[in-house]
Amino acid sequence: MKAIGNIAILSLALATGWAHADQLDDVKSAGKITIGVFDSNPPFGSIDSQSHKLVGYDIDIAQIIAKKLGVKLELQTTNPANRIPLLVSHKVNVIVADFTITPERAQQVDFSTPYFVGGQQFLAPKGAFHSKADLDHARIGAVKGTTEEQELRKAFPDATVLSYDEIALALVALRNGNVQAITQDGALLAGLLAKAPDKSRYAILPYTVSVENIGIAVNKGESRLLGKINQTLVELEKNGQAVKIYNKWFGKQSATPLPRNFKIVAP
Amino acid sequence: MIRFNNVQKHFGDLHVLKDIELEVAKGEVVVICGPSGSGKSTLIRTINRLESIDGGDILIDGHSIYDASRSLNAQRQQIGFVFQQFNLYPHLTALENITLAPRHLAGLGKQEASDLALGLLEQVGLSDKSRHYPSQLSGGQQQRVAIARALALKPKILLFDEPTSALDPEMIGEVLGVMKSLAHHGITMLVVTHEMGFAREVADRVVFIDRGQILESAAPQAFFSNPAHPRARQFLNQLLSPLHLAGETV
Amino acid sequence: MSLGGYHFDWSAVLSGQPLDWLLHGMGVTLELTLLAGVMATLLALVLLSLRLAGPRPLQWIGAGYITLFRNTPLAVQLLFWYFGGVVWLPESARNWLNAGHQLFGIGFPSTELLVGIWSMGLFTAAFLAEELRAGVRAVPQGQLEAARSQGFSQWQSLRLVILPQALAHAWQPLVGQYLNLLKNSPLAMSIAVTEIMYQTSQIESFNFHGIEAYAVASVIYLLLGVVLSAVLTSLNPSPAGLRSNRRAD
Repeated sequence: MKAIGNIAILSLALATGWAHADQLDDVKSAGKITIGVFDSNPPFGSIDSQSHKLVGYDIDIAQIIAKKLGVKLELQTTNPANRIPLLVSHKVNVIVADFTITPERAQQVDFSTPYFVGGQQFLAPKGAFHSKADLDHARIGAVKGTTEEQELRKAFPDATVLSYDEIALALVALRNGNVQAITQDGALLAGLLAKAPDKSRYAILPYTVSVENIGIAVNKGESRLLGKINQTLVELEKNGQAVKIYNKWFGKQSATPLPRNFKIVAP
Repeated sequence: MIRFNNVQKHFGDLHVLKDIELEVAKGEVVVICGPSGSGKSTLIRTINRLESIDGGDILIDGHSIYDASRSLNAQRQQIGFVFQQFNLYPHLTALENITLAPRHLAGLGKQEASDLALGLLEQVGLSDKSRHYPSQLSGGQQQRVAIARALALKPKILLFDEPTSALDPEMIGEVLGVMKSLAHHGITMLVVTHEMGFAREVADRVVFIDRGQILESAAPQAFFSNPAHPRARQFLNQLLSPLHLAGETV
Repeated sequence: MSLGGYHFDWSAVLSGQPLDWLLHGMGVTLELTLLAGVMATLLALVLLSLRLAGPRPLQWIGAGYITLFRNTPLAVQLLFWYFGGVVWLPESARNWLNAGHQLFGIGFPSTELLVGIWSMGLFTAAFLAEELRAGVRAVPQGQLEAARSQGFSQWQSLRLVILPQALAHAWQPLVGQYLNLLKNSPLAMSIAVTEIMYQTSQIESFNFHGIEAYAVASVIYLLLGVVLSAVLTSLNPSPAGLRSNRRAD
């Protein structure tokens, strides 16, 4: 009787996945890891126009994680809306997709230590501003309805804020001299600047208004997998590879230069 | 005073004025009549260039009205025009209708112009209507104000384009009365009208025009008792006894 | 106050910063509407003269202007002048405009407001000119004949006889066009003119009480419109002779 009971319980457990070993074991035994990344958000994840392969900062990080675990890497494209659903339904093991760490999201997934720190920054003509205080009474362009617009007002209450419908229009206003600087997420500004024909006239200022921590996400409770990922990230910083990868995508020679103002630290 | 020399006018293919030769002496009163579409209105409208001409010339006091050295506006100020539809300015009172031109074209001051206008209104029997608007006046009264307006700049020539055709019968008399009082006081008058009674009593000459051509020009006595041209005869018959069937020849 | 499950919180819009923003927005809307209206009126009179009394080439220019400005959307015209046209101003002028002047607590003259006034003035002038022209065409032909026969020049005839009558015919349609100017003013928000709708959108991202903000904005526009309409109608220059005995209006 007891044996049948145990078999029944074990079968039930197997059927429902209760008795699943954790994902780290699964990945190791399967010999591959599935990681969700973006395909249209350069420079984090996009499709290279020549090779038609997925490339980007996130993809490089994903590749290193797979290598460290000694398994094959399988990439799965995702978009902001279905990052969490993909993870929670086990279609992917890990998400490396420009994922901002927020308390609400942390209730559904577990985050690694930040591997990228972005934030709201300013774009202005080179040499126009020498300190953050210079912006206090400036005319600054923002994008209507964004959190950056709100943060700007809070951080610079005496500045004149002019809001436009899109960041591209704000850039035109900057070019025409209607505003002295424009503000948005730093990486977005970098992407915008890279495509501007007169990019040599402008620079992204080294001050941030707010800070956004970008982390790698795994399913809740996957502490062993998360531990391995954190370990990998900290090592990358120590041996200088993190800086190398950063410079490849955000360095001075890259398409979207953005000064690095963070270090990957242990959680 | 007024001379038409071989005047021609076309409206597209239609030859509305054909070989017009006409001379009007100073102070003369000439009635122009004819069937509808004959060109009689067009004829007098060419005198103040409300209508243009395609051939020939029109002279006033020996000078062509198309002489470029003379201003059109100045010429028109010497000619008074009375329209079938009165064309009073509805946004101005009777007095203001008359003072408008003296004040803006003759440089008269407000009081001067007002005095002049009141005199003219009295002449046409409407001194008590000076502050009325055209919409408050009867047709006959409006036309009398229009005549006063036409006299405001002391013109040498007065042109009347069917002045009573738009009036109810009982008002025709008051307008014709005013016109009669103006006749033979020095102003040259050309009147397009069907009012044969007026022609008989007041005109020095009657000119009959049909299909763009002047067919007859004679003293009223001669014209009414014995018209020379067959179409003139036909016209008079139809006019004087309208119940006759059309097309019947005399 | 609740409606369909949404709980309205009017104090979120009618007090503190949001209220300041709304009042400021009202001031800007009024400034924009009134100044653009004055500019449009003057320009419309010029266009009308070109069309009615000018030599042929000028008539074509007038007609061309009206076609161009009536048939392109105002939104596009605003974007054109602000993001494109403004580069034609010399740099010194632009710097002066961007220096943050204030007049009655509202930034003026500023690039955004001036471009808004300029663009909306050009646009509305085309419509005003056409309404005036329609008014002129409604004046019977005999009026012009009578005036010219008296020896008035074309210009005098227009001024003394035709235009007063044309205005009487066109006054209500003209009032409608001025109201359109008021109702079009929110479009200036796309060029960062801080009028009422710009401010309501700001309130929306500030405290998420967009529904209350839009409701209050609608009431403000309604009040402004009613007042503007009443004032303009009372200014009707229709001469007395055309108003008495008029049955239709």
